[in-house]
Amino acid sequence: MDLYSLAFNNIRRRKLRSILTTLGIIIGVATIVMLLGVTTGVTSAIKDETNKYMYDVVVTPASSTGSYLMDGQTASDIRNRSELYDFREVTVFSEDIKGDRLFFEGTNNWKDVKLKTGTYGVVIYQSVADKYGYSIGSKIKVKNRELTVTGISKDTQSFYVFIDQSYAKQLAGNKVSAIYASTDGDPKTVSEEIERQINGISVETKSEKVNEVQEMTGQALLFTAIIASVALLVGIISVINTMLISVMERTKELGVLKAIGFTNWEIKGSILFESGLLGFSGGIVGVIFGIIGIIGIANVLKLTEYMYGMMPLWLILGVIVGSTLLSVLAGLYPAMRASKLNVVEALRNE
Amino acid sequence: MNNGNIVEITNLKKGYDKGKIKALNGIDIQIRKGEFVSIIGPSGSGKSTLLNMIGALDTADDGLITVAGNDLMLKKDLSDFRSKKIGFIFQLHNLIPNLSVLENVIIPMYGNGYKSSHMSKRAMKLLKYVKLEDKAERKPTELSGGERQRVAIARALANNPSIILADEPTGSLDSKNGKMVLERLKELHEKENVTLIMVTHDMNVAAMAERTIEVLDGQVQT
Repeated sequence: MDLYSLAFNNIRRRKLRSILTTLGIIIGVATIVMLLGVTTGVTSAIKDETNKYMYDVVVTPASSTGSYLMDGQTASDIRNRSELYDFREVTVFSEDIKGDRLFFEGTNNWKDVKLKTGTYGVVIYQSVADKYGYSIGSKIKVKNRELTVTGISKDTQSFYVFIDQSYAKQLAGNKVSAIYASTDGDPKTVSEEIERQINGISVETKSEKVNEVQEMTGQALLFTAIIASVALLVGIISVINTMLISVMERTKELGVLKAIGFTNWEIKGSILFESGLLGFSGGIVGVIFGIIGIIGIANVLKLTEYMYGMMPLWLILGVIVGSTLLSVLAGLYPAMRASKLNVVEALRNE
Repeated sequence: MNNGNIVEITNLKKGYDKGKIKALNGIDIQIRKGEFVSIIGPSGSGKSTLLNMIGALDTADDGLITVAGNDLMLKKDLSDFRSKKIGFIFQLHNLIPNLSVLENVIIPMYGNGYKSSHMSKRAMKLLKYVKLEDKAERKPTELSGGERQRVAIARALANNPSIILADEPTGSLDSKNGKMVLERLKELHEKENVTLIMVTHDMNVAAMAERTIEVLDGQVQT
């Protein structure tokens, strides 16, 4: 028999109230885990994707040109810049096929194309296969050439056909949509210099893009954190309420404990341990529900590949430690009240 | 402690409501080690306040009070004193309802550094002494009033105290159970030589003690 058993006993004695109090924490923690988890997972996925595709600078046709393709001469001028190296070109163009617009994108890295069936070469989205009735071996007529479908990718969001970049550039009349490049200089200065010297182009730096994305995702994270914190706050308030009522109900019992020699610190410790226990158990169960929620959301939003990124260890441990510490904090005032009880008055309490 | 006195009280004063109510108004008492003393007096006379002072449940405004060698006017943290030197028996047993009988007897031993097995063994021995060893696992609510008070006696003895303070120990019991509790207390005093201080308003109960101290209007009547 010790303080910890006493705390366990008190929780067990008031089962329904303890469950309802813990429920408040469970809802708060589960909300935090779900909202922050999903946002974090999506944010890191966006960052990964941004980093994967963005070099130091990306050159695209200026919007004032009214075109999404740069001619061969402009592309050649950019490639000849001494401050740039490690170029990657991308050509995207569209064709009207059977009355609908189909996009053709050149790729240098086939690994980025998630193949569902077949082989690399001419890979169509599943959505293209469904809409046009294409399958492996089907012919697609484009720019007076005939492409034979070799593979189908998993994607269904839009209507794309992937081909080798060199072939796409050739089909587009030696034009490119974007040139990615690295530079040893300051990307911002380099981009301004290139824009000044070559007409009809727009140069963006990776940091600008990444900052833009990070700013947006950061705002989303902050928003979700605020919403989720409100939910947890409600749970913590219910811990304060429960512990205060508990102290009031147990006034006589606490008086007896003091009379038989319990110190004020032991009385405080018992109350704080009890409230911490409510927070800890609420945190654990809340995390479990949060993870179940994440699995559900990831499946509904078809983001299962990012699912593990939505359950970072820092978040799981953070909310369990956080809910425990906040609950201990919530127990502080009731604990102070309990320790300051006058023994004689407490013993008279009915 | 002088001349074998375990309790020495000189000119002890305690007031409530900013001194308007004088619960103790210059009390002088000496109690010898191993003595069985009853404190009598009508309601509001100050006898329970006096007992609370001896047990360090409350602090005096003025005077001197030394119990088992401890100057209670100087001592800041009295919890250790209460735990090791004093055993309380209240009128209404004051057992913790959600703990078993055995746990109620063990709980005062917590914090004294005993092993769990030692605490359980001692608690069982004490329950055997009050003839309740077969009800060790029961909850207090499952016991009769007399049985609960016997558990309270066992709890009071848990830390082998120098003094047992009993505040109307038979006040809530019928005569049969009251007699049984008093017999246990008297036996305890006679066999273990424990100092027993009992507050009561019942003259028959008070007569069991070796000496009776009468308190009236916060003062000892001579």
